[in-house]
Amino acid sequence: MSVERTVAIPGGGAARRLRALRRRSLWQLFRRSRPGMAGAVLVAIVVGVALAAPWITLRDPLALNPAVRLRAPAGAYWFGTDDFGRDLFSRVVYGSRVSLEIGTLVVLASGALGILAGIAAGYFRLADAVIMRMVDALLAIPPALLAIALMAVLGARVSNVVVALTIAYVPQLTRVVRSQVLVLRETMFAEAARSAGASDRRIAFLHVLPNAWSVVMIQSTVTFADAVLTEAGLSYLGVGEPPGVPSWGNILSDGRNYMVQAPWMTLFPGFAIVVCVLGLNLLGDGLRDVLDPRFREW
Amino acid sequence: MARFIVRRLVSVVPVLLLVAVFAFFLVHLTPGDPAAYMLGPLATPAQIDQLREALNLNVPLPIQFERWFLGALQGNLGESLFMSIPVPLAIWQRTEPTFLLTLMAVAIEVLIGVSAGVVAATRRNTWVDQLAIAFTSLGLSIPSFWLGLNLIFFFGVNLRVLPVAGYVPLGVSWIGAIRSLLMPACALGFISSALVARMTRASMLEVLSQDFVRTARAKGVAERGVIWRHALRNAILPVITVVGNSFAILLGGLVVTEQVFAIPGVGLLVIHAVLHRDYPVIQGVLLYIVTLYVFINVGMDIVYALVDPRIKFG
Repeated sequence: MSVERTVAIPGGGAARRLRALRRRSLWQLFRRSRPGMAGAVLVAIVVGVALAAPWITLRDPLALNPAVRLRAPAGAYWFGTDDFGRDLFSRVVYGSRVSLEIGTLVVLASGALGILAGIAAGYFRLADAVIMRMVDALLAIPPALLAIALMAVLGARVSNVVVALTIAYVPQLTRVVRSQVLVLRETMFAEAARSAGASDRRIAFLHVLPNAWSVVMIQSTVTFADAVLTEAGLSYLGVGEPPGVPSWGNILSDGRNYMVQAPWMTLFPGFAIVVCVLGLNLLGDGLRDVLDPRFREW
Repeated sequence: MARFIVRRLVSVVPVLLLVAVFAFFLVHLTPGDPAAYMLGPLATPAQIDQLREALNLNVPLPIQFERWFLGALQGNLGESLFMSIPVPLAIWQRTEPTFLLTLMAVAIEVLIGVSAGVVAATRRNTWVDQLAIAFTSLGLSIPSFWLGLNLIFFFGVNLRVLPVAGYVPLGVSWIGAIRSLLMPACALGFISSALVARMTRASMLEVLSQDFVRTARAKGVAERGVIWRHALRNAILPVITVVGNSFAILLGGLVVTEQVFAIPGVGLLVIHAVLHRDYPVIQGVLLYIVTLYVFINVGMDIVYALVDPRIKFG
């Protein structure tokens, strides 16, 4: 009883210690998850490469040099060069920045919108009817197709890619948050807060949301992976970023006409996408193992 | 049962209605005048006026929607701006390869997914289990177009066993049609097999721990028979739903895959429409694919209810 009382006091020394303990035990659980650790390592590599891009590349990813067109990987050109003599290593390294930037923005935007819409739907019956009908309709459109259709009207710009992917992936997050809210709002601690006179908004954001956080984290990681994959597809199809941007999809798109003469043009960017997306998906699996007890069997 | 089917079919109506609203307003998301945007910078004012007239852009928005929607209900989705043929005809002309490709891709998806899931479940928590699940999870992380390009490079260019690209219509040669779709179907089937594998594994694990499996073993049924005949039959049900859901990946991936393999299907049609700002076609294909996807899932749910007598949807 005394333990529970100390825990209930927010910001108390015991509570802080308990949170630290919980965090440490979660980390120990996560470390045991083989997919999770593998994913974390892969993601760390991609993030590290993106951050260190100016220091690990020798050449400007945009610099044209017709004298060294379509060079095979050798010597100074680790990944070879493309049809304009641009250094593929630089382009692939800088491509990680494009993918991670877009992925991060999509996750932040769809996360924020999904949390707000999910809480609104979970708390207000009228909002629930409206929001969930829209979510059902958007979920009926395959995300990749939705993104392509949106890009067709918005025009090929980086910011529009973020908008299109956010619209494509926000329904999934909304649904996940809503289902958590519906469960959590009926729990004892939410009821306790309500009987103590807390407003719906206060309960939703201070009591329900923190407990839904783990599910949001898992879904966000998966969304990040899907966003990177779909973004590459969009730019491969020519409806993503404008042609000049060194994104992985664009590099691949440039390379498809040189499959036979210069297979390295498609090999390396494709491999980069796989490393990044696989890392994120494995990380998501690991987080699910640790944070979601329903899936602990896997 | 009949009530369940009716209810499930009725539940589709609001979804399709909203998607129709979305498809309609898609055109109005364009910056500025949609007609001018579609025709590009070289269009004359007269041409723009003509298109505005054809698209009903000169009347108030609600009336525009009414006209468009009533037309769509009757299958009149307008005319393709680029090809000058009615949109349903454009889609119909492209349906054969897409239909066949989807069918083959689902077959491959189920083949890979179910066998990986069964193998993983029967060797639970061994390296075989992890390898099988990791292999299919790789599908979730590989861009379908990159996988396609590599397949082309390997089987088409190096080994020369399969055609590099293009499509041979069924009417010309059905073997040719299947051969030309084999690589894209493998690429699509592989990327969507992960969910099927996971669901099969989880479902198999549950079934394998049940009494009737022990009974089957006890009466001397060979292990292979226990797993494939007794256990899998009972474990396959939840997999049906996942296969239905996986059409989202499949139908979305179709667009990119058809582009990679130059298959003149609905996916390639939508790409051409996007690049030529052919909005009636984009709207039409969107409605077409969503309708397909929604009804496939309804169908799967009904099959599920029909097959499993334990499920009673009140």
